[in-house]
Amino acid sequence: MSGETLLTAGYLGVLLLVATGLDLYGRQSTGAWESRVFTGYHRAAGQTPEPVSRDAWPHSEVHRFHRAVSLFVSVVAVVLASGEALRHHSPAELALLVAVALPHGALLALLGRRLRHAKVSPPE
Amino acid sequence: MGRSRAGGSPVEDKRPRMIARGWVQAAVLVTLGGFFVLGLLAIRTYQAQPPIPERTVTASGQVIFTGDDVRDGQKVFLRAGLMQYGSIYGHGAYLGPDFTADYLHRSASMVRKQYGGAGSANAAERTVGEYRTNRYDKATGTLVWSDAQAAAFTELTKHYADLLGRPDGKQGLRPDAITDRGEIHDVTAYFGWTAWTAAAERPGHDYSYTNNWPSEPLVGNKPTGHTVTWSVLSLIFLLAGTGALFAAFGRWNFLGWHRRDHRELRFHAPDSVRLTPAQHATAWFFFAMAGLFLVQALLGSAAQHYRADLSSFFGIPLDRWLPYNLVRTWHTQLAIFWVVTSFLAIGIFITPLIARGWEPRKQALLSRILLGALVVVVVGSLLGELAGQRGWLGSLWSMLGNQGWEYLDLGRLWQILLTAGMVIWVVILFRGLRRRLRRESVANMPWLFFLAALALPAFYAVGLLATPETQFTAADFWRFIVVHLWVEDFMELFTTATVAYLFVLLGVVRERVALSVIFLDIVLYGAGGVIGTMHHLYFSGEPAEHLALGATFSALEVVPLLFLTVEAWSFLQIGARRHSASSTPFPHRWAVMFLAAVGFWNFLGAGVFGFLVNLPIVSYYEMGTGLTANHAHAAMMGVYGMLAVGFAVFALRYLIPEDRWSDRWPRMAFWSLNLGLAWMSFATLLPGGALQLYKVVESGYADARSLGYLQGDTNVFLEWLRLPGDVVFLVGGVLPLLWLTWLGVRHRAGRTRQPADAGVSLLFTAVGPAPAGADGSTEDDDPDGDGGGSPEPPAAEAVAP
Repeated sequence: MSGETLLTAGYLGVLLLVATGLDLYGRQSTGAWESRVFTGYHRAAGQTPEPVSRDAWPHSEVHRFHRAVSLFVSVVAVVLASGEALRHHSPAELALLVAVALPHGALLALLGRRLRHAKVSPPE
Repeated sequence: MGRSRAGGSPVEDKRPRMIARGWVQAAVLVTLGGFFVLGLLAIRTYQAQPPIPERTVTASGQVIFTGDDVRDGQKVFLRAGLMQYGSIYGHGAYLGPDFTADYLHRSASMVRKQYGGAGSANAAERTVGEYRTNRYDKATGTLVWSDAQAAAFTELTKHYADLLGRPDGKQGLRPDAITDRGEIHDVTAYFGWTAWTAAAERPGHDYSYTNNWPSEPLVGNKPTGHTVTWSVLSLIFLLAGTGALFAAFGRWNFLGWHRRDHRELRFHAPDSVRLTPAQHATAWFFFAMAGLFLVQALLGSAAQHYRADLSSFFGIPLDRWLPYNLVRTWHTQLAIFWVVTSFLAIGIFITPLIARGWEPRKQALLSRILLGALVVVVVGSLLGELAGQRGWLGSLWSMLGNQGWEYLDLGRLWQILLTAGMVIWVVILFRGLRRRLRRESVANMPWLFFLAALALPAFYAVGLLATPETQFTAADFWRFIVVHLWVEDFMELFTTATVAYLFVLLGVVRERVALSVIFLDIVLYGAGGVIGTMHHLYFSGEPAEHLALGATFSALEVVPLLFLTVEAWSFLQIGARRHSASSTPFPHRWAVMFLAAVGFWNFLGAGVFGFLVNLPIVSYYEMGTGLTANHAHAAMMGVYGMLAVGFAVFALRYLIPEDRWSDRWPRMAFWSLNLGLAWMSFATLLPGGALQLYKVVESGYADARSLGYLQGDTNVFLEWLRLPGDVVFLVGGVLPLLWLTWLGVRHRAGRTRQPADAGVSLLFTAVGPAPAGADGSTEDDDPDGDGGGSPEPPAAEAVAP
């Protein structure tokens, strides 16, 4: 097994964390008042604004932005794995690369579907 | 509009300060404190920078090189653009070697070989001792080298003659770049002197002038105690700073966001907004911006090509005309130029809005002159760099050509002219704002906007202190005042003030909220950013206090990045909330998206990727590897690039008539620029940088920065992997932007705002119950912020605050 393939596999693991991390980060509420950072603030402020809807612009688009970047990170991962497979393709190396690329493939399908179904309501 | 009417006495018309005095005091104190410490550190730089010996001799007294040779060598290094090829003390470009580490490694290998080679323990010990012992006598100005060191110098002169003067190029420099034997001798003396400072122990200390940088086992260079200790302490400061800020934010009602606002906003259709002549003139600025951006990105891809394939550009011998160092010089210079062009333009664009539609005569003419001057400076300085590097300018090379300090490459004349251009810009802004400024407290938004603009030429001018004669350590100090403090603090300040003002002008953020965000920005960036500038200077010949203070305060810089990203979303929330069903939709969908991208890249590119390389112990190994380039691209393009584009999209929305406007172009540019940048980072810069860092730790710095490593199989594979992302960035991102800005130029002739239009509202109208105040423009004039009581009759037309 070539060292480069092992490194690629390791990096693909990192990218999996990055892609899921970014998607989770993007899923958090972008309404500042819902943020836990503002817990104390909630108490201090008598009259907090109405909560924002996740589907309201620009929040909808901010979620979509993070998701698209996540998706692209997974595309990078799959391209990287394919490139590496062209360079090193003993059965063991191929098996390893496929194993680490599969979760990215699943993520791609999942994020792709969610992106297609995401509601974006442009500003009115 | 009683308060804005012209003609009243300035004193009685003056709008009081809208924010608590504590904010102003905190901002002034933090800024003064930061600059006081920075001043002390500047003095210490001159006291403690490594000495240049008047002569370096062998034990028998034979002169190897003189102090003048070293100083002349630095000039050769700068004139030939070698700082945009390789680096000194890790500062410069990353294709060529780090000349400090390279000289140190090569000479120490030769010395050890002479003493018995790798097998001999005695040889290893003797080599370490020879390099670490400081045999410089301050009284006589004489440094004594061993015969073995002198012999290595002679050998290395030949080596650098070959590397820098190779007739067939193919190493990233033009063929026959430096062939003069005297120049080769001097530049080798310069490299040799920096290598000496990197290993010889500082008097009274057990580490070298460079805090033991670079990592080099041959001379016993390991991280110092300071490097480790301050890394740990800076982490603790980061945690404490973040915790304290969030706690304070939770505890006190900092920003005054808790009021509901029941007004409804009606945005004016972009078509109905009448622009002033100067605003029309900005169309050309944005077109120039996009043109420069395209050239900058193309040059970037050429520079990238050298990393993927050093020998030729798909069969074309590019290094004959556009060698790597020239391409990178232009790439880094244009990165500043195109972003600044957009900043200048948006400043001119919003000045009449701040002045409530008023514009003095000849403002458009001045703006056009400014753009003309800018074009002259950009073209002149780029050609000067070409001519300077090629040696066509003779003794005028640093005046007209190429001063050679990375990011401050431009010739001195151009540097002065660029500063002067920014001063003219400030004058343009002052002319446009003066009526408004007269009636405002200095702590209010119009003044803050103006002062933030004023800081831009002021701090860019600091770069004039770094001349080709200045010793590297001091020059690097001043250089980073521009590269870090100017970019990271003052461009950030101008940005925050401008973005906040744009939201205020659109009516979606209350002036008081915007004002407190600006002050918070000054306090937070001032606390970390000013002294944090020293995080660039851990290992460039500065004493240990620069390392300690730099590490501590730059860790605090991450705090506002974390925090102001939270704040950025809040901005958006306010933006989304306060307009309601009106006949005209919110016109700035894509400008706001670019701002959202700024928030994202601030977090990832500046915050995460920046902090990744910020700790002294990481920086010790990492400096000058691909991870630095990763941070630089994700932060500079991600934050300032996206911002510059966002500003352009905002203004173009008004410059391009409605029937010519299509969301298609900004949408395409938005997605392509962001995804292309993410690709660049995740496919190449991050993994390549991580591998290179591993290589530094494994086999020393010189090896990991060698052309041999970069041309290795794995690295070349990663470099090629960048191609698809770069194509997306260029074709899908930059070209649509260029087209959009062209539409702005082509169709900019809309209705021009006339003096009689003074009463015509600017960007929005407020309808519905307004907070206490006489008219629609006064909701923010209420100093204690408890308005909001009695409903007012709907104001037919309200002017932006």
